[in-house]
Amino acid sequence: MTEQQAQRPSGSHVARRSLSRAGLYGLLVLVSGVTVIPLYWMLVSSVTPNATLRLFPPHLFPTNPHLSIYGQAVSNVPYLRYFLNTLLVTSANVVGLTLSSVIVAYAFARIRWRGRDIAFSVLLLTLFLPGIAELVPQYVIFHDLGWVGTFLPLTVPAAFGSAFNIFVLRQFFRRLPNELFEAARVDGASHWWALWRITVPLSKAPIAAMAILNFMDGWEMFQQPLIYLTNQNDFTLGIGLYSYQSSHGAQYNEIMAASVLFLLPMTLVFVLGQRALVSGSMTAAALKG
Amino acid sequence: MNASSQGTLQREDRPSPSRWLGWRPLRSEQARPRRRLSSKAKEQLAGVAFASPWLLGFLAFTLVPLVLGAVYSLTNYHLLNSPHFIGAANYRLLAQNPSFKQSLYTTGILLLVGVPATVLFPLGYALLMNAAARFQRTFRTMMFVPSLIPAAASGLVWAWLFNTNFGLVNDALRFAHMPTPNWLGTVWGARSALVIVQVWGAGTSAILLLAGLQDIPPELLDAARVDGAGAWSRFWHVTLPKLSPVLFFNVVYSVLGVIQLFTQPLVMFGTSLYVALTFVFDVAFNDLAIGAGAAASWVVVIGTVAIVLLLFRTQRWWVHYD
Repeated sequence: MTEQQAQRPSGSHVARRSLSRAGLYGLLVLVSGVTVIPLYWMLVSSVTPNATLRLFPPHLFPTNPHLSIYGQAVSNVPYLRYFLNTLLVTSANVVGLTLSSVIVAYAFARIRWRGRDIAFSVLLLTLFLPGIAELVPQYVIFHDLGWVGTFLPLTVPAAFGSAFNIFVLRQFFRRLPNELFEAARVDGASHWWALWRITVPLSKAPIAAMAILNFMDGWEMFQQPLIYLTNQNDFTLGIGLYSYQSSHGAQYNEIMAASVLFLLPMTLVFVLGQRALVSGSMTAAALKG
Repeated sequence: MNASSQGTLQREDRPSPSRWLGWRPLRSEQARPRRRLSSKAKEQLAGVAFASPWLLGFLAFTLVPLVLGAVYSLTNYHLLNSPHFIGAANYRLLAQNPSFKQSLYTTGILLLVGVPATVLFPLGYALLMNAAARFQRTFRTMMFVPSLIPAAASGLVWAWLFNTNFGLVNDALRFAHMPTPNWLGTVWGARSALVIVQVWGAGTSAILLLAGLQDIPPELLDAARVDGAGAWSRFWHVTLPKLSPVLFFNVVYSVLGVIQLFTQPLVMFGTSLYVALTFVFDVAFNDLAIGAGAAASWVVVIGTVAIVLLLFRTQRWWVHYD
């Protein structure tokens, strides 16, 4: 077979091509459909009476949505109270983690100090250390401090930054043009000034991305609240839902309605913040090191 | 001031000719002008001060607990009693504890099955997401959106989907005249369910791979095509090596995620089927057996560190950084 023959589009080639197009769309619809079905079913279940949910075959399309189930969920779970608790813990984590990580990342990216490289290697190592390493002794420490049953174990550690935030931000800060910092130094500017007047304004996207990720982590935090919050009134949404499920496991529709109300704020923050995540192309930079 | 600070920078950035020759001025610190020394001290002070939140946090929330945990694991510490040194007794008891062994076994199964699944399925997703197709944005969003669901909510949703009598999964199986297993009440049903939930939520890995795919220069694939490489050969010899750093990251990320699974297993089957972390949780926080809990977590930590180190060692066989 010559080169020319190979490149000439033959009938079978065209057929095969449209077949593979069809296969591609078939796969796309199949895969994305299967991934979305659980969420669709969560929404449908949240507006369907429990008796109907027990029928076979299942009623896949709600003809008469019972939005009142959301009202029941909100009052039975104490949604508003748990929402405010969650918001409190999450805000403390967003502000604390983001702010302190920005400052620490600057120290690793733009200041030369003895011990920096060792400290940074240790920081990288902690990224691979599973959190369970500290879980039990941390509890003892917080117990001895008398912090168990308060929000302090969920909020105070945030003020010390997170290794992941620091690592990602440091990668960005390092790439900012040196000349700007040189010029600032020549003018006698301090590092504090260079941090807030040069680094932060030029790194809005990655900082926003970190803040969004911190919001999501704070919102879905589960293990820590479960361990440290002992008073039912202090529960966050995640463990509030869990405890409601433990006692009212058969109220599938209310649990699904409460789950929707739990994930909605987090998803909303992500969608609104998506532009920062996309334009930051944060992941690629973090991976390339 | 200006010239001197620039001189410092250059000296640190690249070796001066005298260093290439192996000659170093003795006591160079003292040979420098006073002014420069103090600016260097200032620099040191600023660095430590700016880094101090993390330095202190590392001490208070990582290093001290790590050491304390090792110490506690050698004691019979119960939160309500004072601890006594008992040597390695906690570890010996754990080695005989069927619940602990079963929890590690489940986590091991998840590593062997769940990690490959949560790496390979997202690879497939990413290839689909990268294909030129109409409505691609919608398809991408649909494949990614499950990873935005908080673990507690996804655990609740899947517990409902996997409900033996009324769940949608068994409804579908019943419709197809297939057996309807008791997913959450049996050991293998629960393990399978957990793997499925992990794959469902692995959209982040797919997005990372998609970014990696879009970073591959099209010329590279065109060149391979001109050389007569088929689709499979292009994928195997061009795409996959280029993706290998992201794949490696995803493997490590997935391993750490699987070992630390907690919320979903707890929400889906409570303590009726342990994974490593729910066992530790039950021992340390329900029974308040701090010593035994610390010992169990140390076993998990050492296992994790060993696996991660091993993974890093495998990099040279299959990961191509260039």
